[in-house]
Amino acid sequence: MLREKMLIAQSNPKSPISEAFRVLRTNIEFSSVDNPIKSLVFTSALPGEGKTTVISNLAVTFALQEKRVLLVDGDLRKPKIHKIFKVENDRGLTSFLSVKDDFRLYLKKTNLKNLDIMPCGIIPPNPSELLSSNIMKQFIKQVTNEYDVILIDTPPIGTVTDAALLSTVVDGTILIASSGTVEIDSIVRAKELLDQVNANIIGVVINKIDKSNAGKYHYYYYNRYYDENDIQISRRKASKKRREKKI
Amino acid sequence: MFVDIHSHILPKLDDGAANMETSLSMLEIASLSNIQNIIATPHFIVDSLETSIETIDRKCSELNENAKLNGINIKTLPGCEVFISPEIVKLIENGTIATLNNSKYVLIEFPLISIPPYSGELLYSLQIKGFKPIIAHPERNKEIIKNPGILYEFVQRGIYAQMNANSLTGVFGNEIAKISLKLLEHKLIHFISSDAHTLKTRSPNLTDAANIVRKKFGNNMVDLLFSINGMNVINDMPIDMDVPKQF
Repeated sequence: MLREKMLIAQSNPKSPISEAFRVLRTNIEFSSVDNPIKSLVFTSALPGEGKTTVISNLAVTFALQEKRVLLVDGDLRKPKIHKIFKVENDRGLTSFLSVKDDFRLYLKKTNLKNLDIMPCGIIPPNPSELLSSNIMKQFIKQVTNEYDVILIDTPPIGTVTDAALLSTVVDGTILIASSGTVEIDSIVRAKELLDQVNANIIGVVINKIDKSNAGKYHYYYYNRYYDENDIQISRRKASKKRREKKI
Repeated sequence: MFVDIHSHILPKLDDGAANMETSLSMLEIASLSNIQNIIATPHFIVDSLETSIETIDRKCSELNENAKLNGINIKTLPGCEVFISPEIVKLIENGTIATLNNSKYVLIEFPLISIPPYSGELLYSLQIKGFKPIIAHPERNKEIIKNPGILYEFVQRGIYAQMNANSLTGVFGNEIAKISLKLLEHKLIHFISSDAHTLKTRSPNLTDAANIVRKKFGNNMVDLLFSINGMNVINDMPIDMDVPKQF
């Protein structure tokens, strides 16, 4: 897909899809009153549910709001962020985690002044080990001091453990669910895996909603039909998950 | 014009050319295959065959002078084929082991019957230091023949692979010829080279293999595997990797 199409929040901020991303941004900002959510892990049950597209557009949306944003490619198996933002992937997170020097050396600038990217770097043979290392925890702490929002892309939690590992060191976790393709059982299983490590699931993003089904959903914030790749966060589901968690 | 990045053409260094005469005859065979550049890759085996870079450089210039005198228009460049062992990372880093034409590309050989358990970590630590490992003749490795997914994992992590021309033409038997085609189909091979040792079965003849590739995969693949990628090694330029296909 063309970069312009992938990054619609930047290329066409007036489109309903970009509006959906702004709603998602607001929902995240107001998802926690007491402790502001700064660092977020995005994952899904299965591959191909749209994690990278959602997180990239959300990063742009936050940056356009004058927030200092760091987008981290925590998918050390099939990294894609560098492709979307057209930055080099010769060095990145894995270089920093292996060499253990200054993380700033590995950041990439984008054409948005508030948005920095930490690409994956060279794909390592032991991604889970690197992600669960102490240096990774320190990294999250350090960047939390320098950025307003830290968004971390991860592999699907239904396939590998990486997202579960990362969700323990961030403020919140968001599940992306692709409407019409992922089985409910898979999503439930994904939530269980996150619950097992006490992840703070702040919500679910329903992605790829078929516009002909749109009428069924009552929690739409605005009254329009959307393009195929439309994105919505389900507040209802999010609060339901939170309620479930408390029980 | 072809580039041969794997050749034991230098005289009296290893099990390759026995003397300068053989080296020159090998060059003549190479010129029939339209080869214009050869990277000389004598074996480097820690503790048993540690040919110094100075010796390789000297032998290269000797061969180049003799070739000129004999009217052969092929350039031989320095390099080596490193047998994998834990010590080689340090030796490559401190310049004891020759890279291919002083580039960041390093030709690495596995044992024919196994893949040492530390291989993944070792190749990764080379990559982190900026080197670009090329696995020599993976199609001859027993483990990879049994499970070519192992090579997929390496290539997916940005590691290159070089196939022997005569593996494809069947010199090493049917099984190896078959797996060679399979690896090509899965886009796991970036170079086809001669691994020439002698004037006979393991000679620097690339023509037959090139014809097979042309017939099965077309002219563009021949250009990439026999020429363009090899030139990029010589010039220390990046190589575009095709996305490999999983097994």
